[in-house]
Amino acid sequence: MNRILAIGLLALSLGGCASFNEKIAAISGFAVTQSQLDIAQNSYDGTSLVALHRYAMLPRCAAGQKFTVPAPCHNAALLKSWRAVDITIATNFDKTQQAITSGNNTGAVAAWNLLNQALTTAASIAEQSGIKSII
Amino acid sequence: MDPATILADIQIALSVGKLAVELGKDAAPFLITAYNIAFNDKALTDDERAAMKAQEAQFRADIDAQIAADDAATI
Repeated sequence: MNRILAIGLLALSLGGCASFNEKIAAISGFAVTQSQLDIAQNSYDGTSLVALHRYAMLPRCAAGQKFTVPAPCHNAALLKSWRAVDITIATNFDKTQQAITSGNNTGAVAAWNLLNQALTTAASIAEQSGIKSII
Repeated sequence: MDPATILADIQIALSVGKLAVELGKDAAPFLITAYNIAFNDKALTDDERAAMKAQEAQFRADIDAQIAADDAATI
């Protein structure tokens, strides 16, 4: 009972229930902030999108040829798969941004979770490409 | 080790280095920004966010053009 009272007083001292709930949500990892999204987006661009772009710019692999360091090339089918995942990622970055902008935290978290799943898939495809071995 | 093998190894090292430098040049601005947001409490301005989006769009346009070229070549 004393603990409940203490939490209630803490909530009031933090400036009201809405503010308190927001802080608890952030602490528990159930809120996505603009900073978190900006960090994630720049990190994704700097590691994955840049690698995808550089991979696409390599010459196309001939039939049966694979990416090697001496003769780097892109596999057309793999490039297409990687770009498809990138589309999903870009869509979910946009959805997360829209939800944050409109104050819809539930939507932001849902898009964020989908985004994380797509990022895992992208990392797996990037490994197959061979270009990540250069970085 | 014969001179031809040494030369071949140097050429491989140079090609790896070139690719790594190109990747690093492209990646650095994004990673520096991410670092500054995470550790220096930087907040992106609308203009900075728009510049990031424009660069992303350029990369994706290049990638899509390459995919279209691949499709055209394999038909």
